[in-house]
Amino acid sequence: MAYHASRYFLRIVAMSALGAAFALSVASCNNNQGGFSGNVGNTPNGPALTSYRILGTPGTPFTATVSDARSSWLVQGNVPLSIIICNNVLPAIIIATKTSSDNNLLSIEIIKGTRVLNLASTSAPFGTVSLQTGGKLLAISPPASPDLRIFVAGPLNTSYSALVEDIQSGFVISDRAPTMIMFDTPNGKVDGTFFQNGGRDFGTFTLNMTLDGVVVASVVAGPTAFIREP
Amino acid sequence: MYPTVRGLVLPLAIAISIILAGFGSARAGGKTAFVEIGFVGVPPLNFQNVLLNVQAIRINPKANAAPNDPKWQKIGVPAGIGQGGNGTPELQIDLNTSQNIPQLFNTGKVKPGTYRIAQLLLDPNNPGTLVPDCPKAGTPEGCINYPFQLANPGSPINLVPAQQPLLAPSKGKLSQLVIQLTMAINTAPIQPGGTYTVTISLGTVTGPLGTVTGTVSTGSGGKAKHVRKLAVTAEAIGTNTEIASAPVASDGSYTLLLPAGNDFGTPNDFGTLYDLAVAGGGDSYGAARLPKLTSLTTITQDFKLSTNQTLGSISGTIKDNCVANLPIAGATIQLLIPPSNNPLLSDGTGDCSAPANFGECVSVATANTDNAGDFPLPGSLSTPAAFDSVPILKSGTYTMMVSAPGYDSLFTPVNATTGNKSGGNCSAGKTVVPCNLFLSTGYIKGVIPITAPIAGETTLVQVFAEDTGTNNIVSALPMPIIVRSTSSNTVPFTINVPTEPIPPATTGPRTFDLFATTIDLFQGVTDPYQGHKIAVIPDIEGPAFSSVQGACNTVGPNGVSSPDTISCVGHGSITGTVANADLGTSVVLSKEDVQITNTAVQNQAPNMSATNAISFCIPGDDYTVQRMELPTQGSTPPLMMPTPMPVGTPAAITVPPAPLAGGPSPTPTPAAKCPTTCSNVGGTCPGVCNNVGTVL
Repeated sequence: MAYHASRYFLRIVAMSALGAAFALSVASCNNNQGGFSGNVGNTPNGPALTSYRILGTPGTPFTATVSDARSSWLVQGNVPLSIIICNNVLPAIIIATKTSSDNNLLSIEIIKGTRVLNLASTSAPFGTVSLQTGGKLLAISPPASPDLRIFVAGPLNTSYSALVEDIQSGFVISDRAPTMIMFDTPNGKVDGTFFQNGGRDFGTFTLNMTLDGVVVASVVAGPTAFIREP
Repeated sequence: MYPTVRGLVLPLAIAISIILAGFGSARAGGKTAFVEIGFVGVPPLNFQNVLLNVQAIRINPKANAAPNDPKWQKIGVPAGIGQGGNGTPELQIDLNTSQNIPQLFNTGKVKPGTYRIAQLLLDPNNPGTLVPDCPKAGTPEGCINYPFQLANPGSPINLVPAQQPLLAPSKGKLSQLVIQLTMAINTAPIQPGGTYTVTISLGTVTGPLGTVTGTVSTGSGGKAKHVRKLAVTAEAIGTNTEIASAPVASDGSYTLLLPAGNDFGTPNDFGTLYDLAVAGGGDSYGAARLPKLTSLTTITQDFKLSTNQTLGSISGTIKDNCVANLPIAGATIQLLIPPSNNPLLSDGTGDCSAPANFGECVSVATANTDNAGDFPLPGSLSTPAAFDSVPILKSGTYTMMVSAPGYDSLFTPVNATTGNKSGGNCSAGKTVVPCNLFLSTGYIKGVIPITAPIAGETTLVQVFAEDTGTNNIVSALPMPIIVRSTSSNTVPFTINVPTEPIPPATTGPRTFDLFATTIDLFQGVTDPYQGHKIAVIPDIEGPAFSSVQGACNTVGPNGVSSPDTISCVGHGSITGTVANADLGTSVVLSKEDVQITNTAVQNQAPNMSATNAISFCIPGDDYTVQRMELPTQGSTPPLMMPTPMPVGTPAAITVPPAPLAGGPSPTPTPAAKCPTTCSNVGGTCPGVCNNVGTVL
């Protein structure tokens, strides 16, 4: 897996993997969250990415603070949402507060690779839940700087794979939209290549990239899409 | 999201929305029958939460089927809740909250046939979590998470009823399987972080479900590609919370099986209240507000829709009216129409945008904003977003309601548009006005005293605002405030609040109660309940409404300060019973007249061994608990969601702070290891918490 490889090599890998994925109808790349099916060279596998899922009653609004050992992020949205931190440094914690005054379910999950490590749920109005992983994080880290995010808005609930990279590291992601991808402390510009799993066209990707809260790139394309930091 | 009353604990199990399992490739693999799975919990006593991590239920025609038998039919977690990647999705359910009426899990497609066994599949590595009340359950500390393991972890959890078959779903029909989940404690842990050993057994329950059925006059485009399928969706009354959804069959029929309270024919009986929304295909929208649904009864509700509608779209952006170019992420946008059984509403206008009326209307389509404030989030080729398939009205408009926590809800007339004018018309006129909208808000600034943590520890403080004298929370800080040892002894905060009066009022100030809680760790791991005192700030007159962009009003910080100090006192709990409770009964817990939280009364009759139990995990302090009742429902649909009213007088309860442990002066709880939730100067920390009982 190309955890510390050049971005150009990674892009070649990504496009190769795209073809492989289409041909083999399997989900994603080699390791961060699953495994690219193609031969991606001899670089060692990087550690599995930690990701978070905010689940429960669809549409339930929430606000969440996600922190790893280096940076933290504020995320506001609605159920369901996947949150992935590229280049994360454990331990990490997620705190989510439901922002509706009803008894709908809000559930958070911490995922490592494809395994659910832990869950926490609340049905209380404006209830709060929290989870941590990778050890004890006794304090929330400073806000991410820069705060670089890619939001995969759709196609809704469609399985996709992506390679998200800076100039030094690449991270393979396999998930379903909507997803918020954060890049912790990128080295240089960030870009992402997205393709739908199974070689099928479920609709166009709708992506945006924000840098410190400002949208700097938007892409509507499919069945593959590429977004890069300007 | 309607601005619902927080204290309104509707007699409805936690909704996870079992959406559209019957849609899509219904005939794949010969799976043409539908099975709806629900759970009724029988948890052990003296637990605040009994959480199971459920992956699936599977059924088999052979009672002794092997684990790898090819005839297993699996009904997993609803797709809509966000399963991702390659892993097995799971859903956490709380047995405590499904004791009275079932929590629906999902509706799945199976092959028609006769099934004799059901099997519960939990996460094999992490089957669940228990949160005991303060020591009554043989644990060293209450109100914290304890994992559990099964007494026989390798053995399947089977349901093979004596009376066979278990169920026999037929082609195109909906069958129900309500499973009673009973948990018994085998062994309890001896220290925090330890593991319970439990046994889980399954049984069947007849009811408590009710049936809603009827016909929908249709025929236009229901089978077309790239169009949402025509469906009838049951929503919790007055909300857009989907409880279950059923496709409309080719003959126009539909059937929903919904959780429903029992009806014994006594005055206090309380059914369950639903709205129905019909959307999809090429038909007009339909809506109805139902009378109370009770167990094992049927309500028939037919719809007459206009067919062959032109479909259009509605899209736009939602931004903050105070801060330039600040998008509002996670806002909720709904299309409202009057129910067919009350088309003119109570004031005779049929106008859902009037402040006094919107609660009488039904939500037929919902969308949310993304991180850039844009709506709707895109659908897929097979299932477009609801706002991308809106029937264009030839005359009149829909009402679009936009809401977000801390903001005034906004109502606007809207119609869908298509072609080069697609994106909707947010006006009642012919000239297209794009749906780029701004939500107004105001700010309350204040301070909350706190005992700063010792070096090396932090405290996270969250502040909530609710309408005065109610449990209707309207806002929370987007991110908790971090308090360190080097911080001052006050926590300054700024919170967004709505500025418009509460409907039906149209003038006058809006007042708020504020309260602050903490998000704690217990021995370094996340803690489901706080161990610090709650600070309250009652009755603050909120900021005035401002329609001027960029010029919003603020109150405080002068005069907005709590008389309480957030200090580390450890966990505590209140447990009790409520006499003669029904499904409309709830209990609100308050501090200094500020309502903090509420609970439904669990395990009511006709359950065997009914206990009418309540419990709160709440830090040691002085509180009151107040019984609340929803009004009894008649045989006609209510105009709007009922509001709970206080009954009797509040009961004062003091939960003693946990005795100190550790430090230079050892304590009654030497087993506790510091730090637990926090430490004091001198090295002490809260020990094992106290429980206080009550009877209401």
